[in-house]
Amino acid sequence: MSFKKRETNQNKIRHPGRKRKIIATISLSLSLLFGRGQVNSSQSPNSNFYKQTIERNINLFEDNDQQVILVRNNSSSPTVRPGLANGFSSHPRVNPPAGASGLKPVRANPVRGFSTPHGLITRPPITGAHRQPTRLEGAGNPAGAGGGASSDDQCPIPENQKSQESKVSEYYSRSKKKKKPEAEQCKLEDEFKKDKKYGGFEYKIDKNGNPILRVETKTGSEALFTYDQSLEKYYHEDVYNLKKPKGYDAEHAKSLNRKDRIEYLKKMVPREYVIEYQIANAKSLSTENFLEVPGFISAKKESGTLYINKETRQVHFVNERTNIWRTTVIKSRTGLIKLAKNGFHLFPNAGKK
Amino acid sequence: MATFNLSYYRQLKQLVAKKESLITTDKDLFADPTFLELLALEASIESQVFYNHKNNYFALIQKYLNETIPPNIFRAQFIKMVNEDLKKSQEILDNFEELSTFWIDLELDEFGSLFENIHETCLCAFEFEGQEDAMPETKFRDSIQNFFFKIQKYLDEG
Repeated sequence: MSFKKRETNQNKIRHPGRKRKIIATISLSLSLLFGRGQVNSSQSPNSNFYKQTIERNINLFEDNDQQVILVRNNSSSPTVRPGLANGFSSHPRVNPPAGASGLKPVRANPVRGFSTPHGLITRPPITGAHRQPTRLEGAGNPAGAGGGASSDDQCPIPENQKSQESKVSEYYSRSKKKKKPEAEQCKLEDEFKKDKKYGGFEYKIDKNGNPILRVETKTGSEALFTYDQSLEKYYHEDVYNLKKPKGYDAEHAKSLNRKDRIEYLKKMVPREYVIEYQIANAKSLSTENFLEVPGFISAKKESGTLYINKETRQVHFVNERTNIWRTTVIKSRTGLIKLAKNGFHLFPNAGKK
Repeated sequence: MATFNLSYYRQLKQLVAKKESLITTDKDLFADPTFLELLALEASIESQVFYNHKNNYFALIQKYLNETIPPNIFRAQFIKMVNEDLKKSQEILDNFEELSTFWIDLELDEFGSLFENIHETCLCAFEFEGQEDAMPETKFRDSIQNFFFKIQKYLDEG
């Protein structure tokens, strides 16, 4: 009996794939032919053959893909995780020594497209005493040692400060339950607050302790007014008829070259005056009287939004990528017509040599 | 020379106000001929105010071209004068009584366009000065000289 011979010759080189499929197909056909819908060990001696055939087919999968284990997680579908040997099996799975199956040991390729926030996991399986913590186990202490700060205490450490080891370990140790408060914590630190001292505008503090004001325009777009940019452009304060600082000469500021002008403004314009100018700009952009048009600036065609005041002809440029206000200029109406004809390209010749 | 057509201006303003409520994006407004006509009509007031002060502007440009004043000071003073005249123009446009008696030269389109080129060049040089995109001073000088020559030629021919 060819079937019997195949069964007793366990150490023979097994060719995965075609033969197994044929056997499985034949066994299924026989099962259907004799009315056996289920494999039952208490039935005829032949039933053992069916059971063993099916088990062999399952073993084939395990032998040839030693690093790919189906891991149950909280989601409905199993997750394929390379390199995580023995993660959730109810009893230890013993991998046969390399070559025991007669096949050349093959390391499974990393599953294409399976990536973590830190990139592909290409680490070989760990076979030893130090098993990596799993999703369900190790969420409490991602630092891996007692006394380490938990991920809930602070925002994630910058990428360049993490070792690859800790990155992988951190990924494995994250659970859905713990991830939420961590994200919320970071969100709180980045959130804008409101205060009357900043004209009632939303603000947050930059690394130098100065405010960044946030304006939501009539269309819901965001514009950010930074302190540094407001200081650099303070010489435009005459647009708003603001109270001038003592000893500050606007005409002198404008007549200086850029470097000297910034030094002069830093020296002559107190912080509260710069903030007042910042607020004036923010107020200016929060009115309804603006035409909001996508546009560009300079020969490099930096993308952004132009906010054009129909009455005062102030044209504000806000960078598209950062939402940071860059400058305000006052155009004549002839200049506005020209701007529209140019596809809303502000200063298209700037940067052309 | 003619007086400003106030009734037409009012009519255009009403039409544009209606169109503004109908357009979906602000960009569409700039493609609307009525809006552009309104802008051009208002621009004629601005051009007339610039023209009325042309001697002051030309004197300043001459000073710069003769190297009596450095480029930074020229740009700052030119922009300041333009901003003052734009304010003045807006005051006229807001006051219909004054507007009804305001005389404009209907042939000032060319002047307005050339004048705007000088203004734009000054703004550009001022905004990008000391930065990567800065306009070289030689290029700035050539541009001002070129536009100034064209304005003078235009006025001489007129």
